[in-house]
Amino acid sequence: MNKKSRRLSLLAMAGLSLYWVIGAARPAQAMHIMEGFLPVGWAVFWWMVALPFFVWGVRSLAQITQQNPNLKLLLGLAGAFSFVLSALKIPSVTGSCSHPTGTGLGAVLFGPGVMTVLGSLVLVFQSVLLAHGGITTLGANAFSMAIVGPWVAWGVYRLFESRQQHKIGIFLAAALGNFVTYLVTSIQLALAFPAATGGVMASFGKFAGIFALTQVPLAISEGLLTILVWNWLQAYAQPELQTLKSIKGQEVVQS
Amino acid sequence: MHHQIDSLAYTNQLRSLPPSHKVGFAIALFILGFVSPMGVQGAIALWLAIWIILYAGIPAKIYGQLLLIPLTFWLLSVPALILGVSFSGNVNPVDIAWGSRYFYLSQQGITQAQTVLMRAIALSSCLYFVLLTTPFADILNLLKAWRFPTIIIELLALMYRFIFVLTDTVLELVTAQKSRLGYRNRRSQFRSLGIIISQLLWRTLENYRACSLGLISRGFNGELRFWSDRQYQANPRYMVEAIAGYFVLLLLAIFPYVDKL
Repeated sequence: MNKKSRRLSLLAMAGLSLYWVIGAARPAQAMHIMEGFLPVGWAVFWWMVALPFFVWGVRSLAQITQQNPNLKLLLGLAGAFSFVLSALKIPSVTGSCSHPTGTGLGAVLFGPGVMTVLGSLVLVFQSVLLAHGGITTLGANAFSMAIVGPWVAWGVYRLFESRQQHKIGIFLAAALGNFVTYLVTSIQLALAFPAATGGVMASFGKFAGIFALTQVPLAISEGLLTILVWNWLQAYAQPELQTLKSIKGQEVVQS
Repeated sequence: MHHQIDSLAYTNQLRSLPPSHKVGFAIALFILGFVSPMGVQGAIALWLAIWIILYAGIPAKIYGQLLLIPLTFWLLSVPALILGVSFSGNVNPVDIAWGSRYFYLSQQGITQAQTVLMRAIALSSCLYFVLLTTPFADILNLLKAWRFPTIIIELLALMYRFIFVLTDTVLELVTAQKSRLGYRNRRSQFRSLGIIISQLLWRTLENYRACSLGLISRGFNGELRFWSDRQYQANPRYMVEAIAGYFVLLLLAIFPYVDKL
């Protein structure tokens, strides 16, 4: 080993240690793309992709609340609930702490269409009150956390519900809702920053690999936690679950 | 879970400036920061640090902690940006071999990491300037003036109000659980959290019932209106600095392009 390569490996070791010390301190916020991270083109692109879903959701909410103004309150509270839920710290299987996305539970409780709007607003509050995420990257974050996440969770839940396997359905809805959010974020980062050799696919492998360390255990934790919540709600909160059906859209309660 | 940013937004020294000025200033810098070269982005970040720490009186420590958030995210993605894998052979003497693969530092990746870092810091500074100097209620009034859909503004206002109510609820629940041997090991951590979330949902709906009763008894017709009587005062000194500084930055940003012509 000559002097140059020794110095290089020393530098690499120092860099890596620094990386782990600082990076591991807060893995929790990793899944929102930070402000200014995406180039202009991609920031605009993801806004354009997310906007139709959001507008569609808002219009259906406007309809529901016109029929029953009280539901405005319920929606506002459901949104605040989702925010507080996503600000809780949950223990991850590996020992670190992280925030749940809450998209799985939200989609099952409030319906995926409602969750698209509420999830996007939650993201606004996360960037305003906690400085996580940002405004230019809101489109990209909303697409992964408020659109893909809830719809996947909802689809999975419905699939297993029709087979009468509620618990597996809830677990997979929450775990996959979290997991898919992270996959989509990795894809978004890979598209914006393709690798020099191997292009988007190689870049996706790298981003997904890095975030998998924190996100896979977290997805499992969120799934387990959501089962506990679901059991409790089934046992003690049947009337409340009935109330929530009124904002799911398919069963609008006329009052 | 604390809402430090929110309380600073209400107590900072730039609170009395008109929100439209502050937000307009931030948006203008935001657009400039998005397209300008790295030097200008650095200047924007420094200038806004002066605004935030000196003029608004935000403690430097808190501002530093906030800037650490984009920095952490950047650090996490740096390896993905700069490390490359090649199967074609050893190109560079410093490459590290692992089986038939070679890991190398890509030049393009390093440039990318640099531009991303500068852009993220410049734009985050703009965002933080608004967050730390303008309370959310002011932003909502501004959105109303800009004709945002009413339902979104109403939902944002309701969420804003109840986020604090529910956060308090959670903190109380956590204290109660901790004093009753909750969160002692991993098993009880999960159990306690499960109870908190379900209780929170229950309390949320309890709040909903109470509030809707209150509103109905006061003649709620589906329209939520919020009252504000805040008087704002424009400050000529800050306006001059903002406009003059922006002009200088703009010149610096377009100078390289003019040079090429």
